[in-house]
Amino acid sequence: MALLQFETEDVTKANRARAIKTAIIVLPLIAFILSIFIGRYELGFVEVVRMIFSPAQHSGEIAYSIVYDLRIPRAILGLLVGGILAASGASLQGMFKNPLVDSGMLGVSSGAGFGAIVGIIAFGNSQAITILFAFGFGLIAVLLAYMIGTVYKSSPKLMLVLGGVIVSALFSSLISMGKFVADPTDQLPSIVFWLMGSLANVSYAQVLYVLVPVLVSAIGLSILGWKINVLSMGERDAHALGINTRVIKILVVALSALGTAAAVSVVGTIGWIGLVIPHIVRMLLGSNNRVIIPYSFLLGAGFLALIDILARTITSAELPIGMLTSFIGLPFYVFLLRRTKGGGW
Amino acid sequence: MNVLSIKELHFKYEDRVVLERLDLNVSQGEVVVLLGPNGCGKTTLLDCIIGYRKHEQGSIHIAGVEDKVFSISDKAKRVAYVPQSTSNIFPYTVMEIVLMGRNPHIGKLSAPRRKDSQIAQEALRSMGLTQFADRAFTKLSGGEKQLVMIARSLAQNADIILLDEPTSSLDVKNEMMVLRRIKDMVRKTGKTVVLATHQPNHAYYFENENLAVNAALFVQGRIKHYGAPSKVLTKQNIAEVYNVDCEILQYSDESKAFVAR
Repeated sequence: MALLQFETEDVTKANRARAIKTAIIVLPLIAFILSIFIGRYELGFVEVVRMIFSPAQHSGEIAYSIVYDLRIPRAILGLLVGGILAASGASLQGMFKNPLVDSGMLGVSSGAGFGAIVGIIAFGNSQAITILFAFGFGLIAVLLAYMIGTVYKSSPKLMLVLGGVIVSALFSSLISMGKFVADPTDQLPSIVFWLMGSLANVSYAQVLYVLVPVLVSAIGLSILGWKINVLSMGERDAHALGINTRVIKILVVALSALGTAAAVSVVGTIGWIGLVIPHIVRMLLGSNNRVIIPYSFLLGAGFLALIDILARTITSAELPIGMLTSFIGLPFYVFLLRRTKGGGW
Repeated sequence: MNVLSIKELHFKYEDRVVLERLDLNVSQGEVVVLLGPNGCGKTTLLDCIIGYRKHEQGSIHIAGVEDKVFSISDKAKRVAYVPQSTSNIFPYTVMEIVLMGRNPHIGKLSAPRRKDSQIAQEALRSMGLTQFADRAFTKLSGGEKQLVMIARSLAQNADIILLDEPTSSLDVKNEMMVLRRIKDMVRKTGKTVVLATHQPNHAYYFENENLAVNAALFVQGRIKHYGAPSKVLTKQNIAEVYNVDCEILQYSDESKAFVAR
């Protein structure tokens, strides 16, 4: 009798996990479809359907260019950026066994921010150059953080986090200096908008910049997920289990940095997704990083695309998306924390 | 042949010498109990054997092969390690933890397959943990956790299992349970065990159970006394090493126990 009870309990647990996984898989799809139908410019349902199913006959119409040149690239970018921020956050949290870490903590965001400012001040408002500088400085920041982290041999994982904090602080002050130096009528507003993060003014070109680094990073991190499990047992244990801890650490940091730098360089800094989404997935689906990383990607993707719909529809002026992610993500996070009491940290 | 052979091993942290020309030979199926005061070098020796710390002088041979030729995962196929205690980890299920033992047998970038799950399940079964497979590791008692870690070392399928004070955080009941399982495992599988501990009675326990056991009594980075527990763990030697007055009790069935006074 007792055995039977255990079994049914296991079955309901497994069913629950399967239902949650299905929901997380479907979410980005729903978000994508909604983003095509909903927007500032009023397009009827039928009209959008017509654009989707017979595009050839309607090219040249306003509705066509709204669907294909604005809404679809923007939705794809939102999915990619949200996904990679969450997946790299999940990987780094898993590896460092530190709930406060996300890819921003490695200095990527502030490095990229500074790079963007250099681009804006030195080369004016050329989007491609701003992106290139942001990407480059994002990676440089992580490299610096890593080098600072290896100064001490004693607790290298914690040291890397500390290195990231130091580098972030350095680039934050450089960002302030950049704002101070910038031309207040022209450059400063660009800088401020960049730093707030936005998916506006998106084109397929930007989707292309982001696509390859994000996919490489997301797939690589998902594959490494199980090794991250072993690494999270601690250095000595992981070594005794046959893990080359240095190689795996470098791979995880490099892949996270690559994806995040690409995302941040295009949309600016969007906070809290990398921190909150992995926690939510952990609470829902357990501790196995092989599961957590891909599902964090999916949930982060769906979440950011949905938030972006809100950002461009709830007021007549578009709201900064970074502000909305924290406004909506954080209360939900606190709610889940209360329900699961932190679950494992 | 010696499955583990250590010659003239020398190790220092900065300029503090921790191991000094240490020799140790262990044969297949043998239990070696490392004893000695805190800081005498037991843990460092285990770290050198698993390769977590690199020794500068001397050599470690595993089954006749110098360990320098082994990659990290080759080493892990031959030597498994059970830590003192495992805390501050994610709430992995017991099965997920035991599966980690399969790491050296899995590709550099892969995850475990069905075959690995079967081996892990078998390891759980041999430790009497089958019904724990889906439980959260972090919710187990200290003794159960140690059994899971031993099951993990079995899944690793290494000939040599090192245990670093595996019972130091356990109460008496759990301590005896873990020792008994280690004894059963050695009997059943013929694994070679090197166990660091603070309890002289652990050496006596294995001797009383008629296992092939040697005690190694450390003093400042060297093995001062080595041999059968009843030869090594005498009143005089313990007084010399720990500076503790003690009595070695002998029961009517010849089994022995150490009591401090």
